[in-house]
Amino acid sequence: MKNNHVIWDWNGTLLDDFAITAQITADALAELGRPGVTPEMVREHYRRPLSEYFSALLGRTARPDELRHLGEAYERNYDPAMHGLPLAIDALDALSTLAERANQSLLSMAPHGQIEQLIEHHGLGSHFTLVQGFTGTGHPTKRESLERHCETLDVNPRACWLIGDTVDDFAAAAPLGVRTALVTTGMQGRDALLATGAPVFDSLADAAGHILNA
Amino acid sequence: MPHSKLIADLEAAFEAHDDSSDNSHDINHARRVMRSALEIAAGEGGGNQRVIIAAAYLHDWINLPKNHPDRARASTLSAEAARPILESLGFDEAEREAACHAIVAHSFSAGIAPETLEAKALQDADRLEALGAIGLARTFAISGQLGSSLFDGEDPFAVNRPLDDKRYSVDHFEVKLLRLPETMQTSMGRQLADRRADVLRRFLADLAEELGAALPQGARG
Repeated sequence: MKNNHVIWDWNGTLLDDFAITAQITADALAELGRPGVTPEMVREHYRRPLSEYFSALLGRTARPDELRHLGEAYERNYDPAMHGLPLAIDALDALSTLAERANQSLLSMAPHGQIEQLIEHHGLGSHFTLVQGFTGTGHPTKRESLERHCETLDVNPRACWLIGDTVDDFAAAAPLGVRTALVTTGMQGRDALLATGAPVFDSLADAAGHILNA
Repeated sequence: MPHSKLIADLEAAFEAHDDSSDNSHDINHARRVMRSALEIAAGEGGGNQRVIIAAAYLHDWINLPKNHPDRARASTLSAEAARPILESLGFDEAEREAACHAIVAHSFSAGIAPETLEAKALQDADRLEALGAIGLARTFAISGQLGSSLFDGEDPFAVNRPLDDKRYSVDHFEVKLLRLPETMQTSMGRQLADRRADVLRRFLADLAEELGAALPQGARG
């Protein structure tokens, strides 16, 4: 009997894409006159909304044209490289471990088409009862997407865990009653994750182990 | 019920976060604090109910044991953790700041004075939890967690020894609990605290009678 449902985040969690994401950001900021942004600075300043994150790295309020430049740089550089990005080193082990006691699904705010391609590329489809990326227009919050995800799955949010890499993941999950396990493999540094009060792990395997023992 | 959606969301967040390890700070504590804080605020002119409700559920989000070295920072850490939750719940910046101030200032250990009605109501409501029948139950539950004795069998009311509330739970009544009414921030909180302090005094009198010991004048109130 599987009483748990685990919802996985994708970028920075199952997919090991922090390095390229940080590099694209650093290069684009250098083009805007802010050289020298390091991966550590990316993790220290990452937050939502992204305008505040970019402004923090720039050291001043980012202008609309600069925000557009950063967004375009991401699209221009990430898409051609994405098929070469590896899964987190223990992603398959964590998925297999959890499969014995939990159903699993994937929810990402990245474009749905991109997620579908990468799930197929990595042969992960059989692990998930549902894969959802972003399909609409505008900027729905992750909380709204997570609520719809649970409704589509017809699962009680209080029976769910979310494994993610950002405070945004925690904030989306908490008011729905979804428990959160956060990992330090992605966009946000350990201190910011610990400040949420949610359990924080350095690997997906440790997060999976925590969920199984909870 | 007003704010039922907000309360449902906060209850969900609380239960997802709670590991059931501390029954004196469980969801029932949060609910009681919310009800008392709303009652106190209403008696003092109102306040922002959304802020009070959220602060009540989130005030112990980072709940460190009373003997933890970072205990004095627990309310500050709770306020930091509350920010993304409050944002997710649709609180604007002013409401977030108001709730976080109430959370930080609610704690004895933080040593920060509450400046708003919401913060004063929350602090009073949380302190009421240490008084009355609830306070009795929670005092001995917490002393059990800390490994304290119920009282000194030879000198239960510290007539011939210094008070030591780390060692003896009953000493905590004189060291802290019976002094709480005078620390209340609102007149409504003070009234409620005085009534509940009488419950503790009656308990001490009954304890003295059962033990055949004399109750010192101060503990009689």
